[in-house]
Amino acid sequence: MRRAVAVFALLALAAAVADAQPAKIKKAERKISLKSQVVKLNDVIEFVGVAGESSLLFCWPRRLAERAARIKVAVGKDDRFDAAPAAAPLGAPADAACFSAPVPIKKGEAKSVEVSASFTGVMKPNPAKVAQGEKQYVEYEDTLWLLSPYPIEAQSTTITLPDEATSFSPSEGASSTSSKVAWGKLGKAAAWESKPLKVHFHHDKPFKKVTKLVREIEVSHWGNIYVEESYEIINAGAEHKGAFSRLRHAQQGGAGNSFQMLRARLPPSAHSLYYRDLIGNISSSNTRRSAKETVVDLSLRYPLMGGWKTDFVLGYSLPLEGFLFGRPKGRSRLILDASSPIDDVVIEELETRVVLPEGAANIEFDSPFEVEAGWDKKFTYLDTAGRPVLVLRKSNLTPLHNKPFSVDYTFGTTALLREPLLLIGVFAALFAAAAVYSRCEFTISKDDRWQEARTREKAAATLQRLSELWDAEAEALARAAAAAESLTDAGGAEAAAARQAAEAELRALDAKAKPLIEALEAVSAKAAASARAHADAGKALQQRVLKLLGEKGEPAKKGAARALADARAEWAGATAALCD
Amino acid sequence: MERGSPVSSPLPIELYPPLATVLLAGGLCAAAGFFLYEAGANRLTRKASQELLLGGSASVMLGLGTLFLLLWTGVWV
Repeated sequence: MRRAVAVFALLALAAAVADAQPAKIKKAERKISLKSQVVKLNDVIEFVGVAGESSLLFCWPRRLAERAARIKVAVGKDDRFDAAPAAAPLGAPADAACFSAPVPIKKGEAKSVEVSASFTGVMKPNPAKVAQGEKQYVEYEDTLWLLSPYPIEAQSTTITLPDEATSFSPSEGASSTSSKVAWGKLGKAAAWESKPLKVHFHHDKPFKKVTKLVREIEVSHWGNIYVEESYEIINAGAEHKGAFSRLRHAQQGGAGNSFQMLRARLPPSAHSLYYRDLIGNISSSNTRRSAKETVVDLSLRYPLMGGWKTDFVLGYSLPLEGFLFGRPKGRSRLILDASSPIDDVVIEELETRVVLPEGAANIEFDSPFEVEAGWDKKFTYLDTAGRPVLVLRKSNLTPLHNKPFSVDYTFGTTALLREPLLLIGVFAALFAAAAVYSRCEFTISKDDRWQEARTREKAAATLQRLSELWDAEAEALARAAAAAESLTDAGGAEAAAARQAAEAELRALDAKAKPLIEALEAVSAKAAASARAHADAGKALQQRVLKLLGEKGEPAKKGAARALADARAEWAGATAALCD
Repeated sequence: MERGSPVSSPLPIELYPPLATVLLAGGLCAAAGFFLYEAGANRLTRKASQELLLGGSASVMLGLGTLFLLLWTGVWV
């Protein structure tokens, strides 16, 4: 009985152990490209599921994993996953760092997975310092076998180099050509088994590294997007030692690991470019525009030898078309590239600041890679409360990160009116202040002179009202004269009607004028006298015009009408003169 | 990521220079008219409606004119 129980227990234990067995790697082909300053790994791994797993682990030495810029896992043609950092499982060596991707694999299933990873700053210059004009040699260290928690049955490692390797280890099993070192047939390896690999070679490409890039993108719905990029750039290759001779540099045509040129590829509609630093404008640049892109060749102020650094600002403007789109529910979407437009640079720290118009709300973003998001405020032209700034931070970027990112926000037409209303309000305040000022009385003592001025004012006001009435009278006279001229039958009913209408109008105006003249008399006798004279002249004119309406026959009308018109014009002129 | 219909400026950008000129010229005329009215008016003849008309139209035209002037000169506010 006891024996049966013991056997049963052993079998159960064996089954449990068998269930915990991880997947197996049937074949792993590793390709490592060291041609540029970014180390690009491309591994094709064939897994065979043993107990069924929901995710797979990919590991590298910690030294490499820390500098991983991007790790992508592809299964077949369609599935792509980003590998996220994961805890190393039990039994892993101390310096292994792992990433996991949610690739499911069933028991017994065979799956081929392609892993592409980029690492920056892992190639060590050896010798660490070179003099001007000397070649740059770098060293790359990795593991010979794939560092993996799964046992491997067969694998191969191929390293492509820009130039022939000066030395590589281990040398057994390796075949080297002018630009490749390959270990074609590496046998079985248990889980976590590792052997170091080292390659030393001449690397002629400059190591252009941007230590800090701040990109500020300001959107104006009136029709423009400003982009301003501030760079701090360093030559991350073998450090320069000894003197620097400009003459020798020019004679050698800029040999060695130095660089001075950068190429930026901007959208074709970019305009108003500027390239400057603290000193001022940097004129050594060249721009050419094509239908696909605007290529800007930037030349730094001085050649960067190993370890040297400089900084500059590149700014440009973009139209809204092609970058700002309308989304449902009145939202807008801004789509721009997430990283620098400069070719072949590795960016250590990127800060993207998206400045949205004042009054933008409900701001959301979608980035092609993980970023840290924060908020800020910017006060610029015509701002009262400040513009919201979305700050996105990321470290360790390669040119492959330069994919579009989008920012969604709500900014309606009423919000757009905020700026013109602010300006209109400012001018309105100015005019209101002027109106209030003219209503203020600042006289300290109200003496005789002040009183005289007040009476003059009253006289001027009354005269102004009188002149309005007289102008109306002149108009009425003109209409009556015109009616008289257009009538054919002077003695008929039409004439009588016109005459009566004119008389009524003129009488009403006279009635209004009378109290005004009386008021004027009370204020100033001289003005009243001239007003009365003017009124009498006006009455004479009235009689002449009314006579025209009552006359029979045509003769002498033309001359009389012209004389009358002249008299009327003179009287109207006198009205204006009177009131000045 | 999905795009939508392109968002463009509320007015065609080519219109900004003529609008700025016309609005500023008109605004300056209206402002001049306002100050002339204020100078020539006394307590009895001044009318708030006339002041409002002149000052209001002057401030609207000058405000919008300044905005389009800023946009024309490349200060994309």
